[in-house]
Amino acid sequence: MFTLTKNPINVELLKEKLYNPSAGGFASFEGWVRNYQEGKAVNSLEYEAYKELAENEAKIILSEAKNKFDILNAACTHRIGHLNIGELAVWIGVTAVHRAAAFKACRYIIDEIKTRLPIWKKEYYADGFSEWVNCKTCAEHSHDKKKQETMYYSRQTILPTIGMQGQGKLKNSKVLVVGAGGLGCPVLQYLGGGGVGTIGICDFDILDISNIHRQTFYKFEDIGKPKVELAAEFISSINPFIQINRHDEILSQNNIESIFKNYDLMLDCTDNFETKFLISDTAVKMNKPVVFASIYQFEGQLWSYLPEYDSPCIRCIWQDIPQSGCVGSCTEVGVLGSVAGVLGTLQATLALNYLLGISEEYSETHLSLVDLNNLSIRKIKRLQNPDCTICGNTSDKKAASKQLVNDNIALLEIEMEKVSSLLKNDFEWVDIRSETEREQLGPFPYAAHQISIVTDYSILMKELNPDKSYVIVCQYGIRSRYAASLLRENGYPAVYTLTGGIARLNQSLVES
Amino acid sequence: MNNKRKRLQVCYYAALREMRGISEETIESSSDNAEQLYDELAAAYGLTLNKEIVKVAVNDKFVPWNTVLKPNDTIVFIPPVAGG
Repeated sequence: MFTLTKNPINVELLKEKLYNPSAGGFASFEGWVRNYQEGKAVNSLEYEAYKELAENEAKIILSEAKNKFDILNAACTHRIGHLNIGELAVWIGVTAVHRAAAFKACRYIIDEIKTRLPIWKKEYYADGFSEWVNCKTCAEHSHDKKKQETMYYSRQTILPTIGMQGQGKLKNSKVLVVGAGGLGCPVLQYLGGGGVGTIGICDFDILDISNIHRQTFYKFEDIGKPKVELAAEFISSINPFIQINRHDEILSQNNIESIFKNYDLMLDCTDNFETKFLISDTAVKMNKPVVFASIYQFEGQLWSYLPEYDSPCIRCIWQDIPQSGCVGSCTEVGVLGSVAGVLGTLQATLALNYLLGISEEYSETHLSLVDLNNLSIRKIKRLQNPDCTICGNTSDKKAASKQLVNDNIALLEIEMEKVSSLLKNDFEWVDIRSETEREQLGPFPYAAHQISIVTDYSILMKELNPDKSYVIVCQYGIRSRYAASLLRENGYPAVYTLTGGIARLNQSLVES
Repeated sequence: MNNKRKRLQVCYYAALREMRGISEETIESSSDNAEQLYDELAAAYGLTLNKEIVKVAVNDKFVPWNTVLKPNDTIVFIPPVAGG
C-alpha cells in the first residue's frame, strides 16, 4: 500500500489500516523536513514526483520487502508539494509477528524508496536561493535532465519486470552491434531507445540506394555517406542520454578482440557467414555472449551464444563456414524489408531480456526458425557438440584447435601496405568481383586475373596454378577471404586475401 | 531400408522450401533414418543442397543424420542463412 499525497499525512489512520491481531510488533519510520542541508540553513522544501512511476516502483519495493522479510504487512506514504520545517515528509509502517523482521523491513523500504523513486526535492534556503537536490542518483545530474531521463523511460520502467532497477542495469550495459543494415537498424533503434548506456556501432559500409527500402534510419540524400555515422547520428537524436561509439571498420581477425573487449554483449547483424563465424569463434575464445540473427527472403533464424549457460556455438551446428553462394545472401536472393525489421526487433528483444536477466530458457539453447510466410516460430533445441572444434569439451583440443583457426585466418589476411614486403612481388592479383561491382567501386588495374564469381568458387581451381602465389580481392574482403581459405584447403598454400577489399583501398587512397 | 512405410511430417526452410515449393507436408516413407529420407526427397524433388550444409531436426531437436525415424515424427530440414 503506497500513496502520494499533497495533504498532511494522517499517521493514526495509516496505523489503523495496518492493524492485525496476529501482529506482535509494529515498526515505523518518519522522515521529517529539517532546517539545514550541508551547512546551509533551509526554510522549506518542495517535493515533486512522477506519479505513475513512483507509485508503481513503490509497489514493487513493498512486495520485495514482503518477500525478503517475515512480515505481515507494510505501507508507505510520501508527501508532495510544499512542506515546512518539522513536517512529516515520508511515513513507513510495518507489522510483523516478531520485531526483528519489522525493523529490518522498515529499514529496507526507506533505503530503497530514497534511491529508486522518481521524487525530486527542491530546498529553499534562508539566503533566498533554492536548489533541486534529493535522491542520490540525482546528484550527478541537473534536476531537469534527470527528470527528463526518467520521463523518457517511463513507459518501460512501469513494467514490473523492469522498474528503475532494470533500467539501471540497461544503463550500465555496454553492447556492440556489428552491422548497421536491415537487422542493425531495428536493433539499434530499440537498444538505443531502451536505454542501453553504451552502444558501439561497427560498420564499414557506405549507404547504397538498394539499402534504403529496409534500413529504416537512412534517407535518399544520405547515399554515399558512411552508415556508421548516419546510424550514430540517428540514435543520438532519439536518445541523448546514452553514449555511442563508432567503429568505422570491417571486423577482422586483426581488430575483433580489441573491439570486443570493451563490450558485455555483441549483436551479430551482419550479412555473411565469414563474419558470423569470426564473431562466434572469437566470442567462445573471449567468453563473451552474442545474439545472432540472419534473414532469407521471408524467413529468419535467431539464436544466442551465452557462455554462462553453456550454450552451443555456431560450429556445434555448422562445423565449417558454408560457401556464401550456396544458400544466398540478401544481394543474391533478396529479402522483404519488413522481414529484416521483424528479425531485428526480435533480436533486440532477446538482447534486452538477457541484459535485464529475464531471459527464458529457450533463448539460451534453441535456434528459432521464424517463418513469415505463415507467421510461425519453430524452436529447435541445440546441444553443445562435444567434438566441436571451437567449444568442444576437451580443453587441450579446444586450445589447440583455437590456435589453429586463429593462425589460419591470420596468415590468410594481408593488408595493402604489407603486400609488397611480405610477398616480394612474386605473386599475382585475382579480382573475383562481378561486372556490376567493378562499375560501382571502379576497376582494379593490377589484376592479372578477372574471374567473376557469383556462386561457384570451384572455377578458381580450374583457372589458378597451385604452385603460384595469389592475392584475391573482392569488394569488401569477405568473399575473397572465403575464396582464399577454400583454395588453401584444396592445395594452394600461398593464397592470400586483401583485408577490406577494394572499398578499404579506395578509402585509404582518399585519406592519403 | 525396410519395407514398412510410416507417416512422417516434413518441414522445409529457406532454399529448401524454394526447391520443394511448399513449407510442410505429410508423407508416407519407408526410409529408416533422416539421411535416407533426405536422399529420397532430394531425388524426388531435385533438392540440390549438400547434406554437409543442411542440418536436420527431429521433433524440434537437432539430431545426427543417422537418427532412426519413428512413425509420426516431425522432420525439419534447415539450411544456414546469412542475410542481414
